[in-house]
Amino acid sequence: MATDEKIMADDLRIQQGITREQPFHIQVNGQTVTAYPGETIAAVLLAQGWKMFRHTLLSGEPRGPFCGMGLCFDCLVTLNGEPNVRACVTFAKPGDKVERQI
Amino acid sequence: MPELRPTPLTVIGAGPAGIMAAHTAAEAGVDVTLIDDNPLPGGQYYRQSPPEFKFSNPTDAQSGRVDAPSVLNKLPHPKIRTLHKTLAWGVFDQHNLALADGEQSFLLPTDRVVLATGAHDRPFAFPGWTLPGVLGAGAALRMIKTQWVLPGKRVLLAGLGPLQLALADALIKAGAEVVCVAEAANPFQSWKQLPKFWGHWDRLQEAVTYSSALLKHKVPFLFNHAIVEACGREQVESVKIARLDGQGSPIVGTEKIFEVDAVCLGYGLLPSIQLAAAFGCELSFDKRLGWYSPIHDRNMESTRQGIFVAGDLTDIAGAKVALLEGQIAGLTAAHQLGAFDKKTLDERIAPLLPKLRSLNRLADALREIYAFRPGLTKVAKDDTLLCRCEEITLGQVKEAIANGATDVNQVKLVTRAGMGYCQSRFCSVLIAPHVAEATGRDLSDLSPFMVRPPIQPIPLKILAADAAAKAVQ
Repeated sequence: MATDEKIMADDLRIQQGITREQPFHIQVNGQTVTAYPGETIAAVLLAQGWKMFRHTLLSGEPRGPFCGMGLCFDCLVTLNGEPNVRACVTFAKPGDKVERQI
Repeated sequence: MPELRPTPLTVIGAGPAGIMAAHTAAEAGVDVTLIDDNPLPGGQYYRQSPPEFKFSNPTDAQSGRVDAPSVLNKLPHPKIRTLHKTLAWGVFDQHNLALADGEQSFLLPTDRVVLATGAHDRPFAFPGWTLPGVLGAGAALRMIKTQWVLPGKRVLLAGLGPLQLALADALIKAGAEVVCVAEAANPFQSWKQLPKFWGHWDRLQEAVTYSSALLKHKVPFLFNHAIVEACGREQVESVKIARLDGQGSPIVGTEKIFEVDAVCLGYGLLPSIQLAAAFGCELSFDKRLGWYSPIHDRNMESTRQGIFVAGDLTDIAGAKVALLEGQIAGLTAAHQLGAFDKKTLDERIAPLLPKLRSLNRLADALREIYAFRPGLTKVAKDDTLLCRCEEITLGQVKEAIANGATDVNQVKLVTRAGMGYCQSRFCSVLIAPHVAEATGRDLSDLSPFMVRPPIQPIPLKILAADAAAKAVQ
């Protein structure tokens, strides 16, 4: 758990006033990342400080969460092989394999 | 498509307005179907954290809203069938709603409808606004208050209106560094609006609390400033703000640069009018919003009989107004469905009206102070994207106009702007002012993009789930 503790120390999760349940792992572009029950995939990635979720198909410019309510489709990721899933309205599950579309 | 049990009244949106509309009608004996695309009711104002999170302060589970239980406890209700995680994506002949959940699409036959679809962050286009790390103020608040994750460590806020102060306060409390708050309005020039705040001491108190938090942390709070550029390779790394002239245009030579890892844009909210437009409800242009909202009468009935509108969809007047408008819509719908006579309806609505008037006076003052000034559209350059989805620049929009396009729908047909993922929610309001300017017309003379179902993208496998199941049989 040493790596987890390190991630905990400098991730962007707010610690004060909240108790989260037992964490689990998901894979993001092959890298193991900690997630907590109740977190969206966008929250898990943002907690790592990862703001870029994909490159656009047309010009290839980088994009990340913008509206945070499922309307703008800028936070699209590939989830367990299914492309174009909105990370901001999709909850992370143990064992999820997320590909940032980059 | 499979069909659900018909319902006398459908309420779309389970925020403050929708919950009150559904509950008021249900209490009057009407069977109600309440539809919401979120996993939990509450909308944005009373947005609930995931049940897996436990808080030392219980109100934190409901975005810190002290009055949330008095609204959220109205559900569940024996007369209300609630469909969560369900999107209303279209309507056929006013009485058949097209819905979709994560699995399939279905039809809901309904007699009356209350639309309480709320609002979303107003987009603000400037060079670099599509960079990762640049996000809406509403998005940032949701990330902090319901997911308990910070959008960044060094954050600049730019926008228009009091939501910025609430966000700055939340960011500071959560441990982020707020490097600057750039407010595009100058409230001190609007002292004539002050009397409208009389009696609304809670709102003034809120403003004082938030402002003193900024003072305490020595956060520069600049009036009459707007964001003009964001720079970075794969995400935002620095941002430029500038002072504004009387029209709201940035003044060259007044720029200041800040290093940041996130930028929150709080340029106000826009009513989410897509469904209202799909229903054929007439829209009117609000000069201070600089955008459209559905026309309604005193009873919150739209120009389509039996179709009601309530909450931020009608006027961006906030949660307290939404609660009252929801009640009025719910009561009138119940009356039309035979729950009680006209005299009873009037008696029940009468005590709500003075409160609504007083709150609307305050909302008016805020809209006046924080009006979106025309010069703010000058921040976009020719190579700035106006349509994020189809990646259409201001230059391409200008070219379409030069080639003869005279309204936003023609710009859409020529450029594809507005045809992408967001279905024009974000680009429509950005493109219209440039069309107005180039064609010499008033913004209010233009109409927004036409709305066609589905009002939000739905995977084909969900639309065709029923047909696919039948094919297997």
